[in-house]
Amino acid sequence: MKKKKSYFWPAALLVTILVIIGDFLARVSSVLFLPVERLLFVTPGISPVIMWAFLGMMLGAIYGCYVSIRKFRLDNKLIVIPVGIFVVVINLMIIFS
Amino acid sequence: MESSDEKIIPGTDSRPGETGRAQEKIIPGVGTPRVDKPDTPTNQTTPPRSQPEEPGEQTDVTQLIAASTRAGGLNEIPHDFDNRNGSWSSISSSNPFEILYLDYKQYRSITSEMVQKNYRIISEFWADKLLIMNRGARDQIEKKYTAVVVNGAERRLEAALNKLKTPASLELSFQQVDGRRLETGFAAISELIEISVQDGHITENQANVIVAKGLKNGLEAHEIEGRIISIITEKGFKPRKEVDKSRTFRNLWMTEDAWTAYQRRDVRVEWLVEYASTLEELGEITFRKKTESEYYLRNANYLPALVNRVTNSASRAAEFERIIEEEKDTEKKYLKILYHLHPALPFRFRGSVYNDIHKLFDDATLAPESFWMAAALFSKDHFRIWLNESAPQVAMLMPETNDVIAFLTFLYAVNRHYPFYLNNTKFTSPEDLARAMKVNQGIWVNVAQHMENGYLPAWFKAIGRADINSRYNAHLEAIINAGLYDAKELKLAAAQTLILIIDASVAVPTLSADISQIVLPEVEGGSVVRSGVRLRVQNAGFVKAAVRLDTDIDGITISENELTFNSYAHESEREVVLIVDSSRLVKDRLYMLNLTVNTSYGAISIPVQIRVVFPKRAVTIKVAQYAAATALYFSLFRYLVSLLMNFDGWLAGYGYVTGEYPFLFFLLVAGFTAGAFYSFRYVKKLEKI
Repeated sequence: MKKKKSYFWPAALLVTILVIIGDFLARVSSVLFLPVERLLFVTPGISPVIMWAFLGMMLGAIYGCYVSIRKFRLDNKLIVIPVGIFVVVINLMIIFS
Repeated sequence: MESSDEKIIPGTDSRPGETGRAQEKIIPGVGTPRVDKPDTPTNQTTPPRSQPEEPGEQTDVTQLIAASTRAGGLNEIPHDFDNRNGSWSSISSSNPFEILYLDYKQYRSITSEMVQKNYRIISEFWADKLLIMNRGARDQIEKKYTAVVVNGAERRLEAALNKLKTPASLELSFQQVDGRRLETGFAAISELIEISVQDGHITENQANVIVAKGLKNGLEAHEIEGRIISIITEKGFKPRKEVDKSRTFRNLWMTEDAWTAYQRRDVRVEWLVEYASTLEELGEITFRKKTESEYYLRNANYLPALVNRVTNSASRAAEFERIIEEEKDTEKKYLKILYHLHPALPFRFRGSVYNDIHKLFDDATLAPESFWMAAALFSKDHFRIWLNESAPQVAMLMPETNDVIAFLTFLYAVNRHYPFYLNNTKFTSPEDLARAMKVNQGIWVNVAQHMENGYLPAWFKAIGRADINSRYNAHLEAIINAGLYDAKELKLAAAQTLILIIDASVAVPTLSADISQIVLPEVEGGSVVRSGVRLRVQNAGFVKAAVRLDTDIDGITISENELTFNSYAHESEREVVLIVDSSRLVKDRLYMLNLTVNTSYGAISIPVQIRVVFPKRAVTIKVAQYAAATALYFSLFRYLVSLLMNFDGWLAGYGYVTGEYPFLFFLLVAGFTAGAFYSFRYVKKLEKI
């Protein structure tokens, strides 16, 4: 009978390595996370969760608009509206942050 | 008098064994089996027959003229008057009655008004043709009718009208037409009569041959027999022995000399352990001892010698020898010998014996088994062998073929009131058949098959309803040309057609829709809208419909192109759905088209109006959905970061963040990024974009 190949040891080895270099990976992740966090930081009075939700909402609106254009075969120019709003808001954030 | 080169119309001709003759009923004649002749007055005679024509057509024309006369003359030009070989050819007849579309045999019921009316209607028909010919369609008219006929029609009609205008001239014309027929017929048989009576003795067989020839030349059986008796009486013939009152020529018609010689003969021969001195006696023994006779008839060694002794005639013996040598089928050989010996012998059928075909068919048509057995015997020529010898005038009614159609033609020629058997089901009339079809669709396919194989058409034609066949064929052609029906559906459609033709009270199966129009004024772009139309068959029946849009527009389609309605199978209602795929249509443009439903019995049209508008609501909902979902996703991520860092404030001030579990933070950011990436693929699949 053919012996089933075990992935346990390679996996254990990989996790051990990742845990060891975890600190490094976290710093790399920070490079992605912190710029967005800084962008959204307008005032300490507003919770970061709310601001991230706001960002998500704007990106979601663009995504929703894109899906509508594809699904309902609408004019591609329609995407300009949510993208424009997004750009304006982001710029305002940069100005006020 | 008409000139000799004038044509006889097809309807007046007849030949032995053709369906054309089959419509005529035989007047009961002396010495022949009887067949009814219900529609002909007994004191009238048949028209002259000459110049053979196509039998099917001639039957129809004669029949149509007779039927029209019975119905009181024409009220309008008959529907098939103008057909190829149709009744229009009556214009070329030498018979003034037929020129005016009247049956001269019914001259007693023909009035001056009928004559005038028919003259007016037929004159209008030919005047119209003359006009068309002179206006340019000369080739077409000449090809069909010939210019001579069209140009001469009015003159011929006027001449015929003058001959039939008054009761006295009508009577005179009848006598002239009938006199010509008798003159021609008697001339045709006179030589044969002379030859047959040369030896001072006429037998039933010889008389039958003369009768057959006379019938072919337009005479009636009783006229021929009367003529023979008149001639032989002049020559001193007398019936010497009363054998059979109903068959006069069995009564030994002989001259004095021949009778004396006959009495001096004292010949006795032994045949199947019995003694006989005449052919008739030999026949009677053969009839009683069928099995034994078949052994002795296996070759020509026995019977011809006895015939020679009994008749003193080599030619008579040779006749029997020829039958025995040429006929290989034992049963047919037996029958041929039997009825050649003694034509008056009865016919065995299902354990009974019959002296004439009328009684045999009366019994045979009582049950399907006997009906189809009679058909089987017909196909084996047994009836033909019997009737050729015993009743040649009845045998003349038989078509030349011996298939079922020929059997039916013959059967209904004997008596048109006999029932028809659709396999094992009995129908007494076309109306009876239509009634059964209306309540039982199970027989429709069978009926259609019987129309296809010619059995039912043969019945209709033989009972004088040939119009059913012509109308059925015309309707069926239209149905086939529509190209809607497959093989089985075509059978149902054919049966449906037959019902409608036979029973005028049956309403055609028309369709109706539950809505009068389809209006879709605000179809949102990108959406697919469906709008259903329920169609219902109004009357009982089977019908197939072709559903079409009169304008081809990419994006507007229908769910069904063909719909089958069959009220007998509870399929009276069907739905067709109009599908509008707005993504393929131009926004804010009004599309106007028609949904048409065509059947063999009519069409309905439903106007359709469609306008596609911008999908505000759908887009708003979609954007809101995605905005909310993404907001939730982002906020959840940030919330988990706060939990992981154990800090719910802003992290913007840090150079980097790792928290207590940097590896978990990495996993969270990686998961967030990967989730965003994979959501594209998922959404693409979900939204089918």
